[in-house]
Amino acid sequence: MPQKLRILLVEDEDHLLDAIKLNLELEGYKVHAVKDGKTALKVFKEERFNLIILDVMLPEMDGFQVCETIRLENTEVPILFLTAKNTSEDRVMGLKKGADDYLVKPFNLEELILRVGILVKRSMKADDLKELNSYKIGDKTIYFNSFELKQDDGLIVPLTKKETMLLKLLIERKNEAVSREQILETVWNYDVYPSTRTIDNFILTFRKYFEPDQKNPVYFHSIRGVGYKFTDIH
Amino acid sequence: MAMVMGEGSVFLFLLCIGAYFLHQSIKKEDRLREQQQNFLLSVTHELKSPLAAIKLSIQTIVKRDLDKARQTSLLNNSLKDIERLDDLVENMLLATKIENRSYSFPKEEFDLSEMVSRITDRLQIHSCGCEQLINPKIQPGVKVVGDQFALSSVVTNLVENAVKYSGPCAEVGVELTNKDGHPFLRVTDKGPGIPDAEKMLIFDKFYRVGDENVRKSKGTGLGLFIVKEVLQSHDADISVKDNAPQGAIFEITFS
Repeated sequence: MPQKLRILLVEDEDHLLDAIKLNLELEGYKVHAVKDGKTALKVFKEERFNLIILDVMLPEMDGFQVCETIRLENTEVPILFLTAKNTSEDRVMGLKKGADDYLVKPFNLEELILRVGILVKRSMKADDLKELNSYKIGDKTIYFNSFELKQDDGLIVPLTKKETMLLKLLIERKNEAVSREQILETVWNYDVYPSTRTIDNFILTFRKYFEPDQKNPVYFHSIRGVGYKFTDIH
Repeated sequence: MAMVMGEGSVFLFLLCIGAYFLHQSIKKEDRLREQQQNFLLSVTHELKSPLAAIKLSIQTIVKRDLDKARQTSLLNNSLKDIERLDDLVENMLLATKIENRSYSFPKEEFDLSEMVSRITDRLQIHSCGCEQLINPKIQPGVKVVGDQFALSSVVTNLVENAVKYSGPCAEVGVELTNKDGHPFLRVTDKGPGIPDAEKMLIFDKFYRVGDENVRKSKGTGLGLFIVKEVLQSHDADISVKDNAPQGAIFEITFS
C-alpha cells in the first residue's frame, strides 16, 4: 500500500484511537488523528484525505454535523462512520448526512481494514476520473471538459454529453470489456432504458469519428453477448 | 349579570390554574424523557467504547507481530477499560439498589482519612500522568460511622468528576478535616464550573449538563444521584458552589 494514502481519524476515546491508528499505520496508511468535531473540520480544510473515519458522539460538534459540513464542499471523499449508535434510525441518519459506510462498535479489525480498503480504492478511482481531461486517439484529441473533438488540422467537432461520458468510460477501462449494464448505470444512470440499438448507434458514431476503416474497427469493438471494448493501439 | 360574570371569572381562573399545572406536568414529563434518552445514549457509549477498544486491542495482538512494548501498552489500556466497565456496572447496580430500597447501608465506624487517601492514590495513577494533578490535604484519623462501600463510591464519584471536568493537568483539590467536630470533605476543581440554573438539577438521576451527542466528558448521569442518595441515608449535607476564578467546589459535612 503506497504511503500517500491519507486517512483522517476522528475519535474521542483515547484507547480506541490509539489502536485504530496503529492498525491503519501497519496497513501502510498515513493517519491524522483528532479528538473532536471542530478540529476535524479545521484539519479537513487544511489537508487532503482519501478517507475520513468519523465517530458520532464527539466533543464540540457531533459527527453527523461534521459529515454534513464536509459534504457541503466535498462530495467525493469517502466517509465511514464508526460509532456505538446502532439503531437503524442512526444508520439511516448517517447515510442521509452523506456517509458512504457505517460500522458499529465493537467491530472486527478484519472488517474495518476491508471496508477501509474498499473506500480508499473508490476515492482513488474518483481522483483518476478527475484527472482525465483529454485523450488522444489517432490524430484526434477528445476534450472531456469542453465536450469537443479536435482534429490535427484544427477542425472542432462538438460532442454530446452522453457521447463524452461513454467515451470517458470506455477509455478509462481501455482494453477491458465494459458490459451494457455498466454503461447504462454510468452514462444513462438508469433514468431511461435505451435499447441496444441506442448504444450501438453511439459506437457507430465513434467509429465514424475515429476509425480509419469503419468496417474493420481497431479502436471500438463490440463483444457479442457482453458489451463493448476500447483498444488503444498506440 | 354580575353573578354570571362572577361565576365566569371563577371558572376562567380555575381553568387557568388547571392549564398551568398541566403545562408544568408535561414539561416535567418531557424533561424526564429527555434525561432517560440521554442516559440510554450515554450508557451505549460508555459500554461500547471500552468494549470496542478491548476487542480491537486483543485482535491487534493476535493479528500483528508486535514488539513487547506495544503489546504491553495495548494490554494496559485494555485493563484500564475493564476497570472503567467495572466502575460503570457497580454504579448502575448501586443506583438500582438504592432506587428499589433494597440496599440497607450497613454502618460501622471506620477511618475516612484512610479511605480518601486510598481513592486519591488510585485515581492519581489513572489521570494524565502529571504528578500534581490531585492535591490531597487529608487530616489523619478522621472517623465516621457509615457504609464503607457506599461512601467510597461517593468519594470516588466526586474526585473522578473533578478530574474529568478539569482541563489537562489542572489541579484538583481534595481536603478532609474535622470541622467543629464534624468530618468535612471538600473537592475542588478548575473545570468549566456548573451554571447556577443547573446546580439543583445535577443530583437528579440521569441528569447530565449539555447535549449527549456533543459530549465533552464520559459518564452516565448516575454518579451524583448516588452521591446524594448515599449522603441522605447518612444524614450528611452536600453543597455545590463556584470556585474562583473558575470551577466547582463540592462540600460534604457529616453530622
